[in-house]
Amino acid sequence: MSRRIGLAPWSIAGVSFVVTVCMTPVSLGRPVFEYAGYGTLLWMTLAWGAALLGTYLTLTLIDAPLHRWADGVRSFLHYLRAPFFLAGAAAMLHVWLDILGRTQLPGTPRIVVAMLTVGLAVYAVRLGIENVGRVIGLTAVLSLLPLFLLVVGALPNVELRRLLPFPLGTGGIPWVWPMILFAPRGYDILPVFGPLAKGELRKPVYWGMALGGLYLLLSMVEPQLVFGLTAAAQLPSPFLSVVETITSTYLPFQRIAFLSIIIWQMVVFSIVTAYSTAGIASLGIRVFPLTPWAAVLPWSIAVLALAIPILPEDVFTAIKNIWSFYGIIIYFVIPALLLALGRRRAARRAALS
Amino acid sequence: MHWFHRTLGGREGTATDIGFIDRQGRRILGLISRYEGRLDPDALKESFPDLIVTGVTRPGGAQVHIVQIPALVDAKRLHSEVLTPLSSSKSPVQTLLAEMKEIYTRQDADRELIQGAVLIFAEARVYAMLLRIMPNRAVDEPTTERAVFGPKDSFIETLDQNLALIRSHLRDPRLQAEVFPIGTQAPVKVAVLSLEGAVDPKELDDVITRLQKFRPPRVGFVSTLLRPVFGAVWSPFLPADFTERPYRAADFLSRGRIAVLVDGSPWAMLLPVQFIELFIDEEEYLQATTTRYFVRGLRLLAFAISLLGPGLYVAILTVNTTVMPGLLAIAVSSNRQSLAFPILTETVLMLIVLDVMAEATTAMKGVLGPAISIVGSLIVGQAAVRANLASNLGVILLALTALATYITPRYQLTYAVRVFKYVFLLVSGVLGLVGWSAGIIWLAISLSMQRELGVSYLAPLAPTLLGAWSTASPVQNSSQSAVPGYVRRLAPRRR
Repeated sequence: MSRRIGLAPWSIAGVSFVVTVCMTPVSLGRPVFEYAGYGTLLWMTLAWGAALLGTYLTLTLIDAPLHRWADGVRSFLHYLRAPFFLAGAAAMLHVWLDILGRTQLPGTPRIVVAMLTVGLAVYAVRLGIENVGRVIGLTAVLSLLPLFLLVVGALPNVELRRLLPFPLGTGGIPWVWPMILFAPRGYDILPVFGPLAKGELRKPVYWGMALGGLYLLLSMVEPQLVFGLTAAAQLPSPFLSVVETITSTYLPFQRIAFLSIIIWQMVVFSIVTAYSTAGIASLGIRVFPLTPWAAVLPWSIAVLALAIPILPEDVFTAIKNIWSFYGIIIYFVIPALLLALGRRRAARRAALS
Repeated sequence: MHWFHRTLGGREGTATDIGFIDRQGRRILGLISRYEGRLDPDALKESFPDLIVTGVTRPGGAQVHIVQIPALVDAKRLHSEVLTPLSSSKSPVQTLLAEMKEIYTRQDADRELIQGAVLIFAEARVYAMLLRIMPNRAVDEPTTERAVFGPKDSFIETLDQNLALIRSHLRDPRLQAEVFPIGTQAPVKVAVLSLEGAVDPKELDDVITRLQKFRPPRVGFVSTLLRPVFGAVWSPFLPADFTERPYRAADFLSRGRIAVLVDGSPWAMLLPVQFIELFIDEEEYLQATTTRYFVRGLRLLAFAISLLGPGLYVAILTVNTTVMPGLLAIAVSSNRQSLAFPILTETVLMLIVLDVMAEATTAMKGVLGPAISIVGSLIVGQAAVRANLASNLGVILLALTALATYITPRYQLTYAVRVFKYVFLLVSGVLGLVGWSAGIIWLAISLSMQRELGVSYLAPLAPTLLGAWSTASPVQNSSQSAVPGYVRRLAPRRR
């Protein structure tokens, strides 16, 4: 039978949503509370604004007419994104293994979960970008409601008196700010996935970003409202601790926190798959209709080697921090410079007319 | 009595002389002086044991022989339309008999006889006249797809009648039917139906070409055509659906799909079918919108329970025991104290018993089927609990899984559920909730890559086509297109 290649724009919206939600609620909560204090809500709002700006820059840069030198830089930017995606996939998987092993399912061997997740990602990536878009879009549809249920379920535990007037952050290491500002980062896959979209792209992408950003805001503010700022800053993962407070005496499950394991397993799989696809494509390797084994296998081995806990924890902290800083450079600074200096005005005028 | 065949060579080509030799050794012959291609002499030596040759003397004294297979020929029509005119009029045979065609080869003669034609050997020529009488039954209610509010007719074993039934439900002049024979030894008529303008013509040509290239000795059920169209189908989630209701076939055709009918089979093959459509019953549209979506959601929930329920049960009771409330954990452990098998073994065994009972119910038609089901569920279940082979909770799970499996309106889907629940059971038993969710991801990947005839199996879920959901139903207003968006909204083709 014939094969049809193409990504539905709403599949990209799904990918955008999942990437935006990403691991931020479970991995960023404590450092944000620790360093931003009562300014968490403000910083997260700023981060959301930064994400919208990043989306605008990324979408504009995809098809903006540029001078020759700027066009060369834009092409080279693709190669710069590959290590970003590799570090991203490995960091997300590492965080997940850490959370799963420490708090959620202590009895489950981490290496089994890592192999399982990377194995599934290899299976999906190998089938090409079209299937990757579909699967992650489907994952987004399946996890949208449960993800919000996890946040909404804890609302009865909220005490609004804990939401005190918030000053700006009380200081801390400077690496946290790039991490926060780069938290809703659903636009980072657009340079790879966007050009393959068949149809109008901006509306679905902004929808994905909006839903993801809303989820992030809720998941970051809710621990403060449930535990209070001081207690939330002491917890290893305030978001998951909030989920643990959702109890039910009417269901056969004492805590519905186990749902978060299933949903986050899907989210992590989606991230590893999306970043692997994007990273391989950034290296100039064709990812449709089938991604070659010669690309998939070395990439997955690299992700696995970086993710499994054999390196010191400080290394991962550095990777996460540098990763965010690096992301801001290749998604904000360079694109903004290219659009400001390298745009061909005549071509733009012609396009406008 | 047997056929004989002789080839006479000549300057202008080859003449074939065919006829019969009767029991007395007399030749009943029509010398056919027609030039033709080569024939296989071995194949021409076959004979029909139930063949009858009747001699008719015409008013002028000329002898005409009628060759027929009596079981396939309408005797009344033979007498009134063939024997009477031949024996009472001196006119040439060609002017006496209507709808008659001349036969030149042995293969054509065989084919016509099997189709229910009589061969008339007269004036040194052989003619065939179709007087078929097919043993067919009346149009009745469907047996597996029960209709409560909708039309209650069902397909029968005659292709012409089935085509008429579809046309009666879809009175659209754009409805086109391509009819051609399939089968090298016993050809059977196959009809490929589509609605011009609604179906993708390239995909339609693709289906017809694939079917015409298919050369089996014979075609039995319409389901045997699944392989030539789609190749080897390994996934239990079939890309085609089967229906015995003409109304449903007509509805599918109006949605831009293709229907395949086979003469002698009371089922239509509808292709391609998509996952979401397996949960839609046309009779839902007689209900209010809220009721319709509620029922559809209930079916999806039941599908999830039957597929994922046993796996979740095993994962929570064996690997991730901490998610259970304290009281429930105590109840479960006290219930399981004296049981012989671990949970995974117990659940696998019980599900196998369930599937055996389901197959027995399917295989045993009539009143025995429900009887077996009752015996299985009541007696075997109770006995298993009393013998400490199964827990009460396990029996409840079994009953729930069985009910949920068969709630789907499409019977084909139950096989997919029955196969894949074991996969979920095993990964959950070994890896717990992580394995269970990994199984869901694996199934999502494999289903999302499944696409046939240019249509994605999971659309409009994956790819996510939000605007296409509104047309996933029969047309209800003038601005709505009949063809669902998830069929029409396809990306441009790239090879």
